[in-house]
Amino acid sequence: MEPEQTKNDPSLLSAIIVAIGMALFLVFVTFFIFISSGAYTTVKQIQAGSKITRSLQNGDIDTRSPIKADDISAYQTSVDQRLKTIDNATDFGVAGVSDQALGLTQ
Amino acid sequence: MYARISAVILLILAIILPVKAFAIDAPVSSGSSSRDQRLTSAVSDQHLVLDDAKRALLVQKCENAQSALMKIQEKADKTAELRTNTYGTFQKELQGIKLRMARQGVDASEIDLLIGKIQQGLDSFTLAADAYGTSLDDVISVDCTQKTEQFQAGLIVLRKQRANLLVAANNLTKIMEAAKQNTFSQLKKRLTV
Repeated sequence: MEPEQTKNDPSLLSAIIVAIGMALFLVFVTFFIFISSGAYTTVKQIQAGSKITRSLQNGDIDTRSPIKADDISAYQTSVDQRLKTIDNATDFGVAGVSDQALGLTQ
Repeated sequence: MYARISAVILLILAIILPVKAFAIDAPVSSGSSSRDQRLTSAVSDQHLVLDDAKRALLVQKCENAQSALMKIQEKADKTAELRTNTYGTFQKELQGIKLRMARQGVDASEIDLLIGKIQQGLDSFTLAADAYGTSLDDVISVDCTQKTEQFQAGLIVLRKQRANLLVAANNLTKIMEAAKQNTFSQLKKRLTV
């Protein structure tokens, strides 16, 4: 003999509604945690990179020849050399617009 | 029961969801009236009051300083353009490497991430360079002998904008330096296997 349902027991329908509500809640919480996380920032950067990659005009850039690990090393060296010619402190340092640099001292 | 569940859900949402205020920057407009507004608000923001000695010094030397700033402006324009071109070239070269690797069937998806990071860095750099250019224009164009406070306030803003530009430029450099570990080493490993 099945126990009789009392007034305080949830019905099947209300239990399903609560389960769906909890599931939706968990989905929203997961979504917002993802949106606030660094992973989402990385995804955005990859998307931006893919978009730019499609729009870049290659011009003289080699896009067809075979590539080896040594080529990456050579490219890395080339990047290093070009970065060494960049001097941010000299180009954009605040000392360049100090009172002394502008002759605004006694 | 529903009221309790709803209350608990709302409470948890209120704790988890950060409240973000989105501030929209007013567009920077050029022109003498907006320049005057910018410099006037800079004076009031900084609560700037000049003593007689400082005012006399500025009146005496500010025009030479403006000439020096014009040269700085010319150099800054060229430098900023050169910097943008350099990082734009990096992006193209990286795309070339990606395409060459793709032709060999080797995954180079890290390059997309690197190109995206460079683009974000370039966007920040461009914004900082624009703001710096506007503040340079303001300081160079103001009648510094009559509006000494505005000139001085403009100089303070200029230094702040230049510092922001330095941060943006350093950020770009750091992105490329970090690429040695994060991107190039991974690509080399894949091409070696």
